[in-house]
This record gives sequence, structure tokens and C-alpha cells, in this order.
Amino acid sequence: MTTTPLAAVNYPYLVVSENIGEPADILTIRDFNKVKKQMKKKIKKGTGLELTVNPARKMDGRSVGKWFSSLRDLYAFCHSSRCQFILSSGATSQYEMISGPCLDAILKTADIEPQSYWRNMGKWLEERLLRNVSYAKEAR
Amino acid sequence: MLKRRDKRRYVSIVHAGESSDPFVNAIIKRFSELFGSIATERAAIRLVQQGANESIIKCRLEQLENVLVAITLIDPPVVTIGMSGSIRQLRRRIQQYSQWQKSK
Repeated sequence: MTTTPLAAVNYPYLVVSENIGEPADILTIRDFNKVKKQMKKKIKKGTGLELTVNPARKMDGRSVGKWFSSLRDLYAFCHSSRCQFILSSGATSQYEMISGPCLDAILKTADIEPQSYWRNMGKWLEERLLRNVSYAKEAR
Repeated sequence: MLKRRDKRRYVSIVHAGESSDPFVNAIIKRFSELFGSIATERAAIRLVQQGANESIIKCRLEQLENVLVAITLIDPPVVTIGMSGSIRQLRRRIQQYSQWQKSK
């Protein structure tokens, strides 16, 4: 979802946005280096910061190297600001989907331990979804 | 000293296009860009089987992770659906996968 539903809903949801100023569960980051300073001031604790793999496919080798370095920086930023790092495929078709072992390989290349990543992600997702469901129940 | 054969892994890939040769070249090119020519030679990426939508490639086990990264970062995109140390087991898995897709 791009906005919080106005009325109560029966399903768990997450609000995804690209604007740093907007309140959202997940913020999609296009270029971390450009928004780093802005994020330090405006980001709330517990927000999910998402980086998609899709744009890296169209980059040349050097840019992919830089993309990996920004991935590492974003992970370190998430760690220090208590946000949740999210690596997603950004798929728009079935051929753009990424299998688990491939995501793990990308994480390992960026010096991120996949096991702790998935563990933290599971915990964060559970907490977030639970929060949004209880909101819906209360609103009823 | 014993001369042991290098361990390898077979990886099955689903792709959109009819011809699968360009996608193997794209993997090798991306691998070379990211990890260098020496690692590319060590990886020994080869096309084993070519299908309309599914293909199988093989590579050395020591470079498997880097190969997976290269597969993920090629354009046009392809999806890895299975991995195995033996081609027979991989073919069995692909069969199971296509049966599961048909039943959906």
C-alpha cells in the first residue's frame, strides 16, 4: 500500500513510500548516497529501508560495484539507526524474481550474514504486521 | 599427491528467450566485470543443456556464490530454480517443478 487505509481493514498491511518525509513502514531507497544526510535527520526508529536489486541489472560493472558499496553503507546505517534493512528483488515480472540462494549470495558478497538478516527480518515483519492488524481491530 | 577432480554444481535457470546462448555469455561477461578474468576462468561456467525456457549451466563449487550473484545481475533477467551436484538429481527436481507449475 502507498497510504494508510482510511477505514478499518481485515488484513495486515505495510505502507511503502519513496518519500523520506512521509510516514511509512517501508522506505524504498533509490540512491543512498544522495539521501543519506536527509535520512539521518528524518528517519524514524524501526522503519524498514528497502533497496531493490532490479536497477543494478541495467548498470555496468563499475556501477554495480558502487551499488554493492551503497548496499553495505545502507546496512551499516540501518544498524546504527535501529532501522530494518530490506533487500528485495523489485520484480515486475516472474523472470525478475530472485531465489533465496541468490539473495543470500548477494548478502554474503556485501559482507552481510544471511542467517541474521533473515532472522531480524522475520522478527521485524511479525512486529510490524501485528501492529497494523491491532490498529484495524481497534478502529472497528 | 592425489590429483582430485574439482567439485562442480549444476544450476537450472528459467529464462524468457528462445535461445539461451546469449544469456550464458551475459553471465560470463557480468562475472568477469565483477570478479575478474582469473575468477571467471576458475568458475568454468558452461552451458550443459539448452531448452526453450529452461536451461542448465555448470560451474565450479568454489565459485558458486559469485556465479549466483552474476546470474542475479544480468539483463535480460533469469531465475535460478534449482541447484545440484549431479545433473540427474537436478533434472528430477526440474520435472517436479514443472509438474507443480502445471497443477497450479
